[in-house]
Amino acid sequence: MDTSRGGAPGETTEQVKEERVWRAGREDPMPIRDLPEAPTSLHILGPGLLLAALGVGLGETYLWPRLVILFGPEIRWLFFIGVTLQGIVMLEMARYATATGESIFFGAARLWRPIMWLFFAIAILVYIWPGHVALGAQAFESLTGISWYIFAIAGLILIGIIISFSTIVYNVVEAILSTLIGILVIGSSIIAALVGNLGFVWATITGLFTFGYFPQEAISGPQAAALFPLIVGAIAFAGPSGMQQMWYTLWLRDKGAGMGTYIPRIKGLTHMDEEETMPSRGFMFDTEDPENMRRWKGWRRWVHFDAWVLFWGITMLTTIIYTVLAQSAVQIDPGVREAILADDQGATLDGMSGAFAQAGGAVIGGLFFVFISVIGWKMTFGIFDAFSRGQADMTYYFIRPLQRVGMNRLYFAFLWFLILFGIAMLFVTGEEDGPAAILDILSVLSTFAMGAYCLLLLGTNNLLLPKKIRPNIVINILLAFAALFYLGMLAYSYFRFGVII
Amino acid sequence: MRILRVIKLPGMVTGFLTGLLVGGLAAVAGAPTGYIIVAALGLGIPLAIFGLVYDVLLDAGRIPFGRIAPTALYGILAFPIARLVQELLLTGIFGQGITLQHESGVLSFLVFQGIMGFGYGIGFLMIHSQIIEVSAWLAYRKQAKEEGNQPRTAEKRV
Repeated sequence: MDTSRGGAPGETTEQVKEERVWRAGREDPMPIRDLPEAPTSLHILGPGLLLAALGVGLGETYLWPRLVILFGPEIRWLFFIGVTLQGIVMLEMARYATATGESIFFGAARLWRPIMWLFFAIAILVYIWPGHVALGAQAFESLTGISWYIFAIAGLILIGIIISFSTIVYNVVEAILSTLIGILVIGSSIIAALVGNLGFVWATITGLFTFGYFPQEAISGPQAAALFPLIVGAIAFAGPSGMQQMWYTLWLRDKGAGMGTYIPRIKGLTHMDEEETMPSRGFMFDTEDPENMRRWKGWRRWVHFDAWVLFWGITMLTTIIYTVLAQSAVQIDPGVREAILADDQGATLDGMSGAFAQAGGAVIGGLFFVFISVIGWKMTFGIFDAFSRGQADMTYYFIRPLQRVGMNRLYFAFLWFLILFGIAMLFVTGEEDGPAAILDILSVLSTFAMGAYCLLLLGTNNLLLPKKIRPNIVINILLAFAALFYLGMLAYSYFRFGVII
Repeated sequence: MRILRVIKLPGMVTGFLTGLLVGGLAAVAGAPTGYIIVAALGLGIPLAIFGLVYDVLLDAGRIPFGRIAPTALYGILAFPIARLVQELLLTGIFGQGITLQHESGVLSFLVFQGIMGFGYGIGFLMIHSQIIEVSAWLAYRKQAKEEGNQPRTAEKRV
């Protein structure tokens, strides 16, 4: 196979005289097609909202408020850096996906297939555990007293049913996640409006810019070994954690963004007969053609709006609301901090709810549990869909015999495997090693994956794309910094304290 | 446009339900019945009215649908006013509001509620626009299909 790169897309190959292709990396060359016109107005919400909906989760509502209670709002600058880096990563993920219609996993395979299989393995290790739904259900148990197993299993089956009966799976996932995040944002704004005050907002906003602040007790002292990894874990959960950014490329494709228009979409089980033929690779547009480049700029505008307004804006907004809530809790009961320091993680959930209850009455404490339940379920819903997309994408393209099965069937095979495995795990895992323990393992591998995909993006976007649409030097430096940020923190935590999380 | 005509309700309903949520909170917190009703309606009715105005403006084409900025502005303006109405009603009738008395002044109250209103506006948009977004995107896909940018057509061209 020809592995040559470079040159303007549009070179004629020897095999197919009439067809122009772009040779990128080791896999099949991409045929040249016209880039479709970008939506003329920005108001058509992109998958950035979906990423925000998935990303706003336990990090924003649980891990970070806990850090604010422990160290004050000044610790928020780390969140600011984390989410901003995620915005950059998102733009670069979108660059590859909109230019090629391929997932970032396919991009990894173009560099070297084992890199892709590494992500395949990480995804399985990290995401087959029903950690989120279990934590959500545990919160529900605290609220109702009914065993969390029932809620967790019902939640898992509900996910399977909803997705199986969709017409176009992406549309349903988008609608459900957006609506749920809308309810969460409205609900938390109202609560914060009822318990907070202007001073807290000011402290939150200044806290976002106290760059360099690091609590002394998290670096040295008897509790450093426990506190430092807590901060590392929370940084990994700032914005979309783990592989969610990589899955964003699959959502872009199903949304039909850029060259994704040429790739068929995943349909529900009841609409499988309408499945379209999946091309064996993505496409590229002619970057020497001014008309196509004009359209490319249109797509970049759309993606920027997606990344900064929808993703970054909504994540920051939720953060401000929850920091206000956390500060209210400390103000009303300073003892909350000691309680959290002394407690194990499972009890901290109760501690947070207790803190909110003291701040705004038992109802608000209860509502905290409702929110965590909703978040736990919607995270599971979003992750199950995305995981199945990612794994189906990799197996379909790179385990050739499985192409006969088809992308759609592979997607549902992974989805129902996750659901059934999740149910089985819930029966096997006792209360002793409760859901929070699973969540910890998840955040170690998450952080590793995040550092790794920054390096991957440096490779795909600089080596596989035509020169005119590659990222500039500033973006490259920021990506390298992000890789260092995530991997460096993991390494420091390990060598300094002997623990990763 | 037919779809736009159908969605006059969501703005109103979203606003009203928000008020009910506050009433529900007060109810479970064990507040007296009268207080609960005033707290719920005091916020719910103003927000429902603002929601209705939003839908009417949307229908008249004064607000572009799905846009973040106008809806956030709507939240920043409408939410503090609705909250102030609620607090004044509660203070007037029962002698005690929810948070107004803890703030240093009406202005700082309004500013803080305005910031939270931004969140209200965004959440409102996400729920409200779901109905419209899907149809807008479908129209775009349909147009792309007519222009021959659909997968099947593209593959046949190879």
